[in-house]
Amino acid sequence: MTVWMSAFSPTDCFRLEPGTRLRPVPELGHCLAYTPARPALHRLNPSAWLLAELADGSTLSAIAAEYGQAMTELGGDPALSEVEAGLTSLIELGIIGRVDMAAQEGG
Amino acid sequence: MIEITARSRRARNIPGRLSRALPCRGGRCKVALSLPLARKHLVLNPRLTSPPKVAISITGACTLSCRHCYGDCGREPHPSELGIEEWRAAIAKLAADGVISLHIEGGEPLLKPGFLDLLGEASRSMFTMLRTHGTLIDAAMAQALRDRGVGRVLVDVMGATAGTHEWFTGVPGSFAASVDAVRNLVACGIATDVLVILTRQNAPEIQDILELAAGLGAERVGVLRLYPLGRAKRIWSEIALPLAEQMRTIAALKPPAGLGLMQSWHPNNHNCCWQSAAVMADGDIVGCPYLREYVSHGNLRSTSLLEAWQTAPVWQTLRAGAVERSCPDCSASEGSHGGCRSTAYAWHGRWTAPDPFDPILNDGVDVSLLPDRLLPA
Repeated sequence: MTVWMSAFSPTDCFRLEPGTRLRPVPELGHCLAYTPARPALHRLNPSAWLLAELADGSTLSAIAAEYGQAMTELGGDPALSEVEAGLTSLIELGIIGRVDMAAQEGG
Repeated sequence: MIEITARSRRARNIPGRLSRALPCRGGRCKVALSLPLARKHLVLNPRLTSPPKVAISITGACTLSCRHCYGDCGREPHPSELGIEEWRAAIAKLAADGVISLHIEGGEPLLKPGFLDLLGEASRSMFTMLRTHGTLIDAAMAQALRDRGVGRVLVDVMGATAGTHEWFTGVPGSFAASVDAVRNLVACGIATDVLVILTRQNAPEIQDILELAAGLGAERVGVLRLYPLGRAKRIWSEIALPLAEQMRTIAALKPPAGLGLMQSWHPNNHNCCWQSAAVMADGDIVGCPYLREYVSHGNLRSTSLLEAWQTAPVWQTLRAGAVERSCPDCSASEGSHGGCRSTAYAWHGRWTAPDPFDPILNDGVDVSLLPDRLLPA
């Protein structure tokens, strides 16, 4: 049995890194993401695209719920581990980041 | 405006186009860096409502004197060129219209007054790629490019030796300067590619160029086909290889470990008109730089690129991918049809013609000889 070790807390918040630009290309079913801080252009599949859209400062719990709702409407059955894996990939690419709540509250 | 600016708060508010695009019924959530499945099974070229990527030739000025120069460039810019303020406004408009990737070439872009500032502005909202001969890129210039946020630099060489390279460029010392440029760019951490246009003179040296580029730390080498444009037409029979020799050269290449090889010969011959958008130094909108002598879809001084994209009849025809015949192997690998429209039109004079640079579509055309109507007067 595989046990998913979460790297995140349910209350962790996520948002696009400053300057990141999303450019949907719906005709091709993907979204381009440009990260000027680390100049690169990434092609996001629809799942990653959706997660990037949902990373608007929301918590992991909220993102997972909204992602799950969207998948359910489409007949899918997403696991929380998939959401976390997707968020991890987006963080590694510099597209989204975890919001530093302490810094925000401090000032 | 294409970009999503308002974040959805609930799944039911997710833009319809995204919901429609979601294929993952139980699929895995990960970042995909490869072609989506949708592109592997197309019958017609994809149709984009606006271009995500644009190429611009920002100036025709150049310090080299390449005998094959497609732009027939000279030391001084042509008086009709867009000024830097015109380019600045045009690039801001491109970004606002959804362009997210900007390829900048020349001439030599670094000769354009105000170029570095423009690059810095563009790089804030677009992935920028710079094509250059590199002779102006010393360590300080490489650092300046990095500081302006350039995404990738592509350095042209025409041989693996000074003798071959400078036979083309006409400038002693230009080979060493281009090689130094790659070294300087890599040292700055800039993603760097080497480009070479395949000719009779450098065909025996292409493998050595791969070795050289790998040794310098370049990520990829792009081997490009020779196009009958500009000064290349004047010496075509001297520098152009028959297709079979081109194919043999490409097939024999063995990229060193870690080096990417980009080439567009069969079975990778693509018709990229469906996504191509380009503007020349004088503002002419041409779809693709290789179509510069055959079409104009308008001029940036009088129309926007997006308006031309939506209304220019020839551009719409080219993007549709309507061709007389298609190579099944290339269609399967590239998701487009008929091969390059520039060489198809150059040899056959029809937008729908097969591309003679594809052996499946060649029909006995000797591409080492120019058709009469392209011969310089």
